Amino acid sequence: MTTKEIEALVASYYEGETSLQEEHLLREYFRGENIPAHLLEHKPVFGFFSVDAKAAVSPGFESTLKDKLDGGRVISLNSSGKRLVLTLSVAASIVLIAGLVTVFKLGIFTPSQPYGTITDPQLAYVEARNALYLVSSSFNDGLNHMQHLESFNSGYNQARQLKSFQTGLDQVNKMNQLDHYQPINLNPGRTPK
Amino acid sequence: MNPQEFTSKVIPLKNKLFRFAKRYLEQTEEAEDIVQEVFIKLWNRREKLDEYRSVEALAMITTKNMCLDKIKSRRYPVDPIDDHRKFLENLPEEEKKDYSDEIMMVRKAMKSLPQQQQMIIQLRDIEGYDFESIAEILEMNENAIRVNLSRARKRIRELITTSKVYDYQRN
Repeated sequence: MTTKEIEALVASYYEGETSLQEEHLLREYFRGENIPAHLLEHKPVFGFFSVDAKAAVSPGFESTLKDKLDGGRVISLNSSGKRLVLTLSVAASIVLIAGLVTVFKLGIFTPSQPYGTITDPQLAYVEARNALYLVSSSFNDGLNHMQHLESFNSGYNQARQLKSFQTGLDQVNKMNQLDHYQPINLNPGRTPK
Repeated sequence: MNPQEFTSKVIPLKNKLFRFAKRYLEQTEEAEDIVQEVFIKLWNRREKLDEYRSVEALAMITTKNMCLDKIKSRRYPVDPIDDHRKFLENLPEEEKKDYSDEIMMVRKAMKSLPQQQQMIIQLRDIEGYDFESIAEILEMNENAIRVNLSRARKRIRELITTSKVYDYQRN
């Protein structure tokens, strides 16, 4: 095969116009030695195809597969297996819902006796008042504890006086500007010490 | 198709299916698992396999679909470089010379192509399928395959040329 022919094949290869036989020829050609320098850039491309065509499954692959197939123990769920799982889960949820509905309908969780109702309005008033007293007394108890927060407030007011300290500090800070003044060089011809 | 026929006709596709799956998944172990599952699927349908014009095309299409599903269900991106490093470490000495820097550069260029173009290169330049079969496997028309094949081949050439220039400038 002449170099001219190879050049023409390479050109039509990149256009996607070569046949399978021609592509096979190119792979064979670039596997060989004595390739002219201007064609060398294509060598790794065809080399890559040949190398990657050799990749194979690991040695234990087939025996693992045969175990799965021959024993009939197909581990992965096929479509009918998936359908079975789906049917079972639908059935299970129906049973669960039906169970809950019956439990509540039968009233197993509702108390069989009401808590007792007071019919006499006078007595009801007294009972309600007592109950509210009970609530409000414990509420007040809580409020008393909160009163200690007042002392926190007074402490805070004292701390606020520190603000005046800050204003004093700001004034002192102005003195910092003094640092920025450069010494004046009176003799521009000589470098100052 | 009886079990003997399955063993003699379908199982030998294992390496082809594996390379195809690995091109999609970029992970050796995942690719092998997918191929196992493809075989199990085909085994469960072995009574009906004779009805297909080409069991090989069916196997390739099944592999493609399972790989795409697998990619979709991924929660974390995979690290193809890590997988490749492991692969190189386990390679026997006499095969290591096959993986020169130049070939690695082509591999890198290949990985940067759009998925569909990678698959066209895989099926045409690595597995040697004709356009009709590629069209069937990838469910595309032949014309689109020709156009994309040419585009992919040119892109690989362009990428390795520019990275060579880059290497030259860096040195």
